[in-house]
Parts: sequence; C-alpha cells; structure tokens
Amino acid sequence: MTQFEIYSVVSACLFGLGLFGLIALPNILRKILSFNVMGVGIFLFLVATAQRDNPSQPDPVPQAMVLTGIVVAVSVTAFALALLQRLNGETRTTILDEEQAENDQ
Amino acid sequence: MSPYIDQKMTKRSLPRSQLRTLVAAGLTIVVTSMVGITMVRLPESTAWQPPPALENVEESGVDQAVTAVLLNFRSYDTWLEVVVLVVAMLAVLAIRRQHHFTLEQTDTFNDPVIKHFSKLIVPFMILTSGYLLWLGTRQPGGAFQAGAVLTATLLLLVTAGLANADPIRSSRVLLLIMLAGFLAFMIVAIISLATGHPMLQYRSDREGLSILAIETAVTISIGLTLALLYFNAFASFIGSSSGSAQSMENYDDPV
Repeated sequence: MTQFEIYSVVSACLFGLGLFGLIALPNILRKILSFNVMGVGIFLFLVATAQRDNPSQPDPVPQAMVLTGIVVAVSVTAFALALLQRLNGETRTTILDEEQAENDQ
Repeated sequence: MSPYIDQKMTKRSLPRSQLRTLVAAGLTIVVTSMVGITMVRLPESTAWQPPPALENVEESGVDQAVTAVLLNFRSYDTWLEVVVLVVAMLAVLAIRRQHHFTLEQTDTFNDPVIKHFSKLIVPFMILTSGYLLWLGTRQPGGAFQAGAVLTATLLLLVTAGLANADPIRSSRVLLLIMLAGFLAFMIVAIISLATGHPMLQYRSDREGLSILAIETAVTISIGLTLALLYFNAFASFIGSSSGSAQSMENYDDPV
C-alpha cells in the first residue's frame, strides 16, 4: 500500500468517525469535537495530495490552504463554544434533544 | 392487569437514541467507504510539472515556499483569514451578555507552584513566539504558529492568576490590538493601490520587510484574538466573574 493510500484511508476514517460523533452523540460539546475531527481528516487528505505526485517537491498551495483551514476551524470552534455556553446559561443543559434522552431511559 | 398481559400488549420499538446510533453508524460506513474509495482511486497525474509556487519562491522575498504562498502569492486569502478571525470575535461579542472583552485575573489556580512555573516559563514562551515568527522566512513557521504560542502564553497567564500584573482594562485598546493584523493588510493594500500597482503587491526591493511587518502585526493580533475568544467563551467555566452564563455545575450526561 502506497503512502498516499494509507493517508487517504486514515483521512476517510477520521472523517467517518467525526461524522458518526456529530450525528450520534447527544452532548453538544462532543458534537463540536467530532466536527473538529472531521476537519482534521480533510486537512490530512489535502496535505497528502500535496506530496502525492512528487514527494521531493510538494506543492505548497494545499499546505497553505490547510493552514488557513486550521485557523478557520479554530474560529468556528470558538464561536460554537460561545453558543454552547450561552445555551447552557439559558437552558441549563448541554444536551441536544434532552426529552428524547429522557424518554429512552 | 397482570404483568404478562402488559408485556404482550405493549410492543416497544427500538428506543430513539439507539435508532439514531444505528442510522448514524450505517450512514458513516457508507460515506466513509465512498470517500475512501474515491480518494484511493484518484488517477495519477499524467504530466506532472513542478508547482509554479515552488519555482517562484526566490522572487517572493522569503526562502520558505509555504510562507511565500501565504503572504505573497495568496496574501489576499490570508487577509480574508484574518477577517474570519475578526468576524468570530464579533460573533462571540454578540453572543455574550456583556458586550465587551475583559482580560482579568482569575483565581482558579492559587497554586504557588503554577504561579512560579508560569513566571519562569512565560518569557521563554514569548521568545519562542518571536523566534517562530522570524523563522517563518526560511523554515516552517510564521505568523500563525507564533500567534498560537502567544495565545497559549496569555491563557497560561490568565489561568495562573498573573494577568492582573498590568491589566489592559480598556476594551477599546483590546479591540485595536485585535484589529492590528487586519489593519496591516489594509494599509499595504491601500498603499499598493495608491501607487498604481495591483492590490497587495509589495515593493520589489522591500518584499521581505513587508512580509515580516505584516506577519508581526498578524501574530500579535492572532495571539490576543484567540486568547480572548476562548477565555470569554468559557469565562465562567474557569472561575472568573466575567462570564456570561452560569457555571456548568449541573452538567448532565446520560450518555
């Protein structure tokens, strides 16, 4: 298995794990973390693509895009955490769909 | 009624949370396999040519390709990235109940060990941040990495209770520092447009200096913005009184 294939499979697995967490976990903080994991998977794929065709001369443009993407993900996470904090202040809960969670128990 | 009849008559379907987990698992497996197969099966490039960005690094004013791309070839994208940070700051300001930023002392850790350790290590962290900023011209580094270390420094100072040493109480000064990166890009853009060049084109003999100047402003701006974003988003969680919500004592977790 070539290096690019390994990176691609890991990137897809990270994306899938993040997607699962985003949908299945009721706690909002964990959804935010899963969203970040999805983003990291995509960053890994971008960087792997940059060095795929000629590893000695990697393309710097996808690498710069990943740096920009990391900063954007950090900003979005900060805003999501502020929203979570406000939600917790207003409704005293950090769980989305709490009625469903109560009905299941 | 006997429980036996009750059990027969009430037919329970799958609980909603388990159904959601199953649907999520199925969806994840489908999406992951599709994405993975597509990624692995990307066709090889037939005629590879050296990336244009790599070939023009010498003319960009720095020696490192990624920094050249970020701050010269695609500096407009970096400017917009700084704008994203500013917008996140505005959004967090809008969400908070107090509409100003504070960088105050917290009493989370009155631990003398952490206080002493912070006093020892913060100068080295600032030095590391400055070194990473300068290093970006010839090796991986630059404004964002240095800004991240600066953010860590500020957060360490705040949680160790040392941020009261010389407080910046004025919210306007904080906002000005946070806008410094954006303003640096805007000044360069205005100067380049006013002298008749394309926007954000540096003077050909001063490219390295322009890049370093912009990076310095962006570093300080990023350091303060990220620190204030995270500090104010979770202010009450780390014990200060400037938070906008109740503390998360009644944190429920049925999962």
